[in-house]
Amino acid sequence: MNRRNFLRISSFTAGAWLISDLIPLASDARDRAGVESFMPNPLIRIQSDGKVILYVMKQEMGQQVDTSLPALIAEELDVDPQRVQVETFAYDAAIAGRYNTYASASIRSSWQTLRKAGAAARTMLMNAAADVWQVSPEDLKTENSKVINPVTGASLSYANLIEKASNLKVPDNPVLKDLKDFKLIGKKNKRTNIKKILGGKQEYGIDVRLPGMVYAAVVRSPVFYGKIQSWDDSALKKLGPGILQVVPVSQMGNGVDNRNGVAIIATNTWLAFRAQQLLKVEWDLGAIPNSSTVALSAALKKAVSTEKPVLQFDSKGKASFFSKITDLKAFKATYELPYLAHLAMEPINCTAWYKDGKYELWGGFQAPGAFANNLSKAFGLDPSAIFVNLLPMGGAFGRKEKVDNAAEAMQLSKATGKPVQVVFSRADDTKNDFYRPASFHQLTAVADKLSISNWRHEVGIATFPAKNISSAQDIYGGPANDLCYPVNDYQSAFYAVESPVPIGSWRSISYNHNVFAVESFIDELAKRLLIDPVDFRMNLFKNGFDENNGKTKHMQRLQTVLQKCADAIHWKQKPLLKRFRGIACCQYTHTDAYTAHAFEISVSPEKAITIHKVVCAIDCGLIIDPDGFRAQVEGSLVWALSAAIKEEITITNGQADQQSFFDHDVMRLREMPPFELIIVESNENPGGAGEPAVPSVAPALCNAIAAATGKRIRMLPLIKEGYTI
Amino acid sequence: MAKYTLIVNGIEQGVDVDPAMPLLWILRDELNLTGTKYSCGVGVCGACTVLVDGQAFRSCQLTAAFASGKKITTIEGLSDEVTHPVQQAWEELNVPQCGYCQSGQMLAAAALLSKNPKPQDSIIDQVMSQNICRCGTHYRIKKAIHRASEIAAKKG
Repeated sequence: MNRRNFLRISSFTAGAWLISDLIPLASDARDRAGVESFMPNPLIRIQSDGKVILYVMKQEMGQQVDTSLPALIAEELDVDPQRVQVETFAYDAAIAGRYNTYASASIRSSWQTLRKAGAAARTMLMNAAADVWQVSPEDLKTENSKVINPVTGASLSYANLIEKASNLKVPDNPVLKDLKDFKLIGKKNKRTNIKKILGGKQEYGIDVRLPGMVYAAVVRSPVFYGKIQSWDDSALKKLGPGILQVVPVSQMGNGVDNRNGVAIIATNTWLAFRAQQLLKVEWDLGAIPNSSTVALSAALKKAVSTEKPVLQFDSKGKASFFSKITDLKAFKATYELPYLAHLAMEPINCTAWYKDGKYELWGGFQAPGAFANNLSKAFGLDPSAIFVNLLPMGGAFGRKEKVDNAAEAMQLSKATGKPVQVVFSRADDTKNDFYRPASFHQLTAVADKLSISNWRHEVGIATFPAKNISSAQDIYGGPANDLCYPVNDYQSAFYAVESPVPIGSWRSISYNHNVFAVESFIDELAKRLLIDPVDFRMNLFKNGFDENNGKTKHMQRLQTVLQKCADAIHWKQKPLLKRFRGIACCQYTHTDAYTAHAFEISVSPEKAITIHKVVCAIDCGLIIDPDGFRAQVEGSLVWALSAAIKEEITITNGQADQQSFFDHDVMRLREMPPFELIIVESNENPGGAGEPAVPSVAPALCNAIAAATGKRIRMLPLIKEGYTI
Repeated sequence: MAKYTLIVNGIEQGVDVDPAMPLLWILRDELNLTGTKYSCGVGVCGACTVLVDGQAFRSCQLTAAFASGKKITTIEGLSDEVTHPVQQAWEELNVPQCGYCQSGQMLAAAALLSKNPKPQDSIIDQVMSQNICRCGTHYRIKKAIHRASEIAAKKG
């Protein structure tokens, strides 16, 4: 064996914790020519040339896991940050689900495992050095990729310890650093791959170029279950020889979620898009339930007022019955929220190459697990027959959990025998989305200034397909099954209404519905009870939860952010003339994060809103990458304001009416208000950062509008109510 | 089909394309310069912004005939080692999240600064509101343009 190409992979049997938590055996254990490498575990490669390669298993979509996750390993490994190279961990069908990246879970689910991975490697290197020097490893320390003997001043670089270390056992319980000794965690770390982005060299799925590759655009069924009756491609002739083929695409069930369609294969994307405009397809659209926004809205309201709920909760969890409040003193309010699309800047696309019974794919995917679990079944293949080159996503926000694009590219590559890149035009992307479902909320409560005795939250929500309870779960915006305020008699109920369009995850999932309704209603109750809305919330917190149900700590953390937020916007002092304030908070239980937003605004008689200031206070536990974390909270504000003020998908004949940024505007730079962010210092376990700062934005703004105008916002977006920004 | 000579990032390139094919797709699909991004295709999002003789244009709205003979700068050619003041400021302030819209943002910012080396907030608001970002890098873009202005002033 050529010694220089020798790859030393440790016996993983000793590191059982790593295998069970995270990884595979040696998935990316490729030999690299010219250097000797030591892989104490699959996420770390220490090379004889001094370079250390750290692998990232989670998918990059702007949340900067390419910086935060390697920092967790590097911290414990004590590696020289200048010599670290970050690479994506190659796809392995056997563990495909572990690449899934959603629910703001990357850090909170793997932070200890990654630290252990680094610490285990460091321990092995120290033990190797101890053996060389014949001293006890406890007497040694590590720094900048070196093991140091503080007594003699001698040092050995990690690169020189590869051979010895690779013969050692991987420790079961490596000692982790104390929080106070962190050098990378919680500090500003250099973003590893930023130069690629800045130089235009970052390769997204849509940038893949392969030899002999052809481009495809698909005319898809305007409704999800539509079937092709016939098509006429005679108008395509005038586009010349660049149009190569017209190929039907079949809908595949089984979690693949693509539509029936007719694809045009062309020599470039532009030509494929032009042909898409000229191709005529006759569809059998079938029966579409609640096929317009108006019909759906009526159906949601009717379900809440006349039907029995399909699911109900009380303070202990799922309940067997639901009873409405009949007390005449009860206060009632309703709120309505529209469908929302994602519109990630990189439109949906995928590239596939079918060769010798196997598929190779290129693209950005939030849920690579679907390749092994759904696509392979749909295509009748062993999961190992699909390999995906996982690329960073140009935005995702929940949309790229789907693999409809992969199914199309795979079918088309098989049909043409060529590598095919399917690109959704912007209109395709908007009209073939998996939308944040529309919902209707009815809240009823009996309350006084000090407490809420009875609380009911009834949610009517659009589910797909059919009245499907499984899709009614909180992933897509299902029932409120929890309330952050202590209430004596709590119940919530869920009513399903068949959606005309498919639904999916949308950044901050059920919380963006439920927190909007709850926090608007709390504000309304306070107004009605003639108490300040912050004081009212604080009074409610004082009632406390039953010590046994574990909610007390959550409530305290929420209370802290609310107080800090109120203080920062000077809640107790009167604002300037004609300025008004609103506040709201969100206990994002899913990811252990707690947020409050406050707005100071004025509203002109013409309903033009001026936002003078926004404050956000957030407790997300220990912060690994503070700059990346800030970026997430800043981005959440833009995202949430965009939805609150401007965004809506309306439905006609079972199809989305909107197609692009000209009929679906989003938040612009000049519209962003002055923003103050307060991060609560915490040594609690890290929470998730991507979503929790979204839900409290809209109710805080709408509570400020209610303060300014006396008018309660019962429906979003605000432009629909005549407001402008 | 028609033949054109394009000067892209200082290099003359001959292309033989449909006269109606927008520059965006010539760059991406013919010349494999994929740093210029497609997002809306109708000139409303700014992701495909390039410089033509130093001015910012939406490449999805330009024909080869228009661009022919003029100096086209894409993100790949904005500087040699990612050293344009805009790129330096973008790096310092860690502007990008997903990064997809950023080549368009940086070229729009570079064009703004070349005309207006010390832009006020109101000008930045006006110009940069024409570019869409969904991750929400708005605040950092604004800060980074001021920072790029300082860096450029120091460089002289």
